[in-house]
Amino acid sequence: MSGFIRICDVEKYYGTKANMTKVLNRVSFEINSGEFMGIMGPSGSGKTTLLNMLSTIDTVTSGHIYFENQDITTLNEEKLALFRKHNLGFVFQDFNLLDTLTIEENIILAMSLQGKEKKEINARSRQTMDQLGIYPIKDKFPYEVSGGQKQRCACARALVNEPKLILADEPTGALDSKSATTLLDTFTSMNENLGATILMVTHDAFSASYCKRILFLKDGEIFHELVRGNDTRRVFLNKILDVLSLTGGDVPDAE
Amino acid sequence: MLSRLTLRNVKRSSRDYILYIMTMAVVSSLMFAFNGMMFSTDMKNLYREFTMFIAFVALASCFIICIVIWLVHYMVTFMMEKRSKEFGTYLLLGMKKKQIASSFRKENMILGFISLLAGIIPGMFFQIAFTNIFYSIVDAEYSISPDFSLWNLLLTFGLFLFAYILALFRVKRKFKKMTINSLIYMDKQNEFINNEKKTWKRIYLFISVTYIIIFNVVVLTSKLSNGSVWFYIAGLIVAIYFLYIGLSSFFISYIQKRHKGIYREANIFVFRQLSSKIKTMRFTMGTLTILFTTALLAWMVVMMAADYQNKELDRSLPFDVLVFSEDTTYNFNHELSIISEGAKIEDQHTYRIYENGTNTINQDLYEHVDGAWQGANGSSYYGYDTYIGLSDYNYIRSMLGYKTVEIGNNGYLIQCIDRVKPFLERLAASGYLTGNNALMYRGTYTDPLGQGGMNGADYLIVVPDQYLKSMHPYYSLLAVSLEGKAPSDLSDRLRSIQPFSDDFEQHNSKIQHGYGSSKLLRHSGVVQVRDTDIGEVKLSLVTIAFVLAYIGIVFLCAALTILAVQQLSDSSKYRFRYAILKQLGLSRKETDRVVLKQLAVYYLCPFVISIVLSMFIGMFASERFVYYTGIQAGIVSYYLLAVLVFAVIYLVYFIVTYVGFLRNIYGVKGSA
Repeated sequence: MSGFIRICDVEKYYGTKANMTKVLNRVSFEINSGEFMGIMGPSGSGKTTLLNMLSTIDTVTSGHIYFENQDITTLNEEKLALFRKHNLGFVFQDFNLLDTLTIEENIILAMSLQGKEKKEINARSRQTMDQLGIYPIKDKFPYEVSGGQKQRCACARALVNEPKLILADEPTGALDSKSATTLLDTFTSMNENLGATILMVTHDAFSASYCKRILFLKDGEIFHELVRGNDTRRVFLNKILDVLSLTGGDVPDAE
Repeated sequence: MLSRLTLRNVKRSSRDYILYIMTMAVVSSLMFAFNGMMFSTDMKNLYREFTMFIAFVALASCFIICIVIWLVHYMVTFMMEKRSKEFGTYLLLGMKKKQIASSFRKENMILGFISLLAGIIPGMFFQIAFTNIFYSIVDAEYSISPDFSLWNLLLTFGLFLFAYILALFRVKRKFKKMTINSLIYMDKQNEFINNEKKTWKRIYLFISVTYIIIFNVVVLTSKLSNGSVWFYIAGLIVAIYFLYIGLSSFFISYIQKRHKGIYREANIFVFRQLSSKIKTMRFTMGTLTILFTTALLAWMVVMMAADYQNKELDRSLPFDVLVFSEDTTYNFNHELSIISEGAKIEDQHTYRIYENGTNTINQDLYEHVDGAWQGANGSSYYGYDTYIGLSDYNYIRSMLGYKTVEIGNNGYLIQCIDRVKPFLERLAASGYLTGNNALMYRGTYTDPLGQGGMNGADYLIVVPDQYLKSMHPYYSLLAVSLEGKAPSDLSDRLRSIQPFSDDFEQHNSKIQHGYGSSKLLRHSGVVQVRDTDIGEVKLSLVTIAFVLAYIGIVFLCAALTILAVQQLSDSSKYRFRYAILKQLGLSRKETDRVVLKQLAVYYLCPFVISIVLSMFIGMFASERFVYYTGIQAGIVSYYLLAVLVFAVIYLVYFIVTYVGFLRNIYGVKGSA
C-alpha cells in the first residue's frame, strides 16, 4: 500500500524568536505498509526529533503527518493517547521497561491498557514471548536479565498489540554486538514474517544495513535516500558507508 | 564557602520538604500555645489547682517530644538517602566526612529553627484562642491580652533543640561508616531488594486478620481481664506489623495467580508498585497504623469528654448547694449564715437519710453492678441501705422543679440512677427490697438528684414518714437553692468549717461512706457547690480534651508527613515509569486515575486498618462510657465524629500529595 504514512513539509523550531533553532526543515517522505525503514544522520541532524513527532510525543511547528489519511497533528491530547495506544509500538535504546514488573507482566500491561480480555492477553503474550525466545525468562525482572533479553522484551511489548507502526530509537545502542545482531534478526523476522512496519532511527551503519530503505538526515533536511532492492546486506552496508563518508557522518561512532 | 553551601541546601530543602516544614511549624505553634498557657497568669487565675494543668501539659509535651524526635530522625535518614549521591560528590571533591556531617546537621537545625519561628506568631494566637475557650467554659470574663512569656520561648526552644539534638545524634556516626562508593550508590540499593518474591508470606496476612478479628471479639464481649489486656495489645501490635508483611506478598500472589483484576487497565502496574512500596515501608506503615489508631482513639475520648460535659454535668449536680454531715441532729446554721453572706437563699431544706440496720440492697448491688467497689478509702455504697421520708423527698423534688409523688400509707418508691434501675426493680419484684412485707412497690424514679454519695449512693428508698420512726437517722443533708450565681469562694468557705474533708477514713468517720458506682467523675462527698464544682469539672474535662487533641493532631500530622514525603520524593523517580505508560498510550486522564488509585490504596491502607481497629476498641470504650455515665447517646456518633475529623486532616494531606505527585510526574518544576 503506497503512502501508508505521509510526512508533509514538517518543520520544527525550538527556542524563542530571538534565538531560534531550526531542527527540521520542510521534511517530506512516505512510509509504506510492511516496510522496514531506517533514518540515519549525525548527532543533531534531527532524527530523534522526527521520531518523536511521528510517535506523537512531540508536536510539529508546521506541516502535517498523515496516518492512513488521518492528520495526527490536529488531534488533541486525549485522542493522541488513544492513537498511540492503538497504532504505535516503541523500542528504545534504554529499553524503557517497567522495573517493577516481570518480563511477562510488562507485556501483559501493554495489552491490558487496551482493554483486551484475559484469555486473549494470555494467549497473545505467550505466543509473542515464544516468537522472540523470551518465554523461559518470563518471570524474571528486567534487572535480572541481559540487555539483549530486555530489548527483546521491549520488542515483544511493541509487537504484542499488532501496531501499525513500530518505532525504534537506537535499539542496539546499549547492546553488545552479539545481542545487537540477534535483535536485528528479530526485527527482520518481525518485518518479514509478521508483516510489521518498522521505522528505526540509528547512527550505526551496521544496524541500518538491515533496513530496506534508508533516509539520511543532515541539518534537519533529507539529504539522501538509499533503497536496498536486491542487494545483499554486505553490499548495502558498503553503500551506506559511502554515503556516510560523504556526509562526514558518525562512522567511527558505530558500535 | 561551606556555610554558603549549607544555606543554599537549606533553601533547596525548604522547597523540597515544604510539607515537613509546615508540619513542624504546626507542631511548634501548638507547643508554643500549650507551653505558653503553663506560664500564663490568666490561666493561673482560672484554676484552683493549676499544677494539674501543668502536669497534663508536661505529660503531653513528653509525648510530643518523642513524636518530634521520631519524625526528625525519620526525615534526616530519608534526606541522607535521597542526597547520598550529593554527599558522595562532596567527598570526591575532598571535603571531610566531619565537615559534611556538621554541614548536614546545621542544615537540619536551621530547618527546625525556621519551623519554630514560623510557629511563634500562630502559636500566640492559638494561646489567646485557647485561653478564651477555657474562660468561656467557666463563664469567666476574659480580656484578650497577648501573654508573651520569655520562659515559654526558652522552654519551647529548649524542647525543640533537645528533640533535634537527639534525632541528629547519630548522623556523624552514620557518615563515618560510609564510603564514597556506598554513598554514590545508596539511592540505587532500594531498587534491587524491593520486589517481594516469597508469596507464602501472604499467610501472615490471614493470621494477622484472624488475630485482629479475635481481638475485636474479645474486646466487644468484654472478656479482657486487666492482666491479659497487655498481652492482647502486644499481640495486636505484632499482628499489625505482620499484616503489612503479608499484604505485600498477597499483592504478588494475586498478580501471579493472574486474577481477572490485573487485566484491567494499569492495575498490574498499580499492584506491583504497591507491593514493592509496602515491602520497603512495612515497618513504617505498621508504626503509622498504630499511631493512627492511637490518634483516633485519643480523638474519640476528646469527643466523649466534650459530650459528657455538655449533657451530663448539669444532671450530676442538680442542687445549687448540698452539704453533708454525719451528725444526725446537725442544724446547718453555720453553713446557712455563710451562704447568706454571699448570696440570696431562695429555698433551703435540712433533712436526714435513714437506715434500718440492713444492707441487703447494697450487697446485691455489689454483686451485680459492674464497677461497684469496696476499698479502704470508701466504697460505692454506704454501710447500710439508705432510706428517705416521703415529705423530705417531695420537698427536695419541688426544689428542683420536679412534680411531687404519692405513695399512700403503705407504698414505697425507688429513686435511683439509670444504671442500677434494673437490679433494684428486680429486687423489688422479688419482694426483698425493703424487708418489710407491709410496703408495696409503687414505682421507680430516675430524676437527677445528686446520688453520688449525697442523696444516697446510686439510690434511695422512699418510704412513708411514719415508717421512719422504726429506723435510725443515718446522716444529715442540707439542700439550698440560690438566686443567681454562687460566690466563687463559697465552696472553700463551707469546706473550711467541716470537721473533715472527703477522706472519711483518715478522720475516723463513724459511718462507712458511699460514693456511688460512677468511677469516671466523682464529686465531693461533703460539700457540693454547683457553680464552682461544674466550673472545676468542666475545666478539668476541657484540659484533658485539649491535651488529648493536641497529642492526636501532632500524631496525625507527623504520620501523614511521612506518608506524603515518601510518596512525593518517589514521584520524581516514578516520572520515568509514567513516561513509559504514556508511550504505551495512557492518556493524561488515565494517568491521573492510576496515580489516584496508587495513592489512594497506599494512603487508605493505614487509614482503613486503623479505622477497623479503633472502631471495635472505640465501640467498647463508648459502651463502657455510656454505662458509667448513663448518657443515652448513640455510641456510634462519637466514633463517626472522630473519624470525620481524622478524615478531614487526612484529606488535606492527601490532596497536597496528589497535586504534588502529578506535578512531579508531569515535570513541572516543584517540590521533592
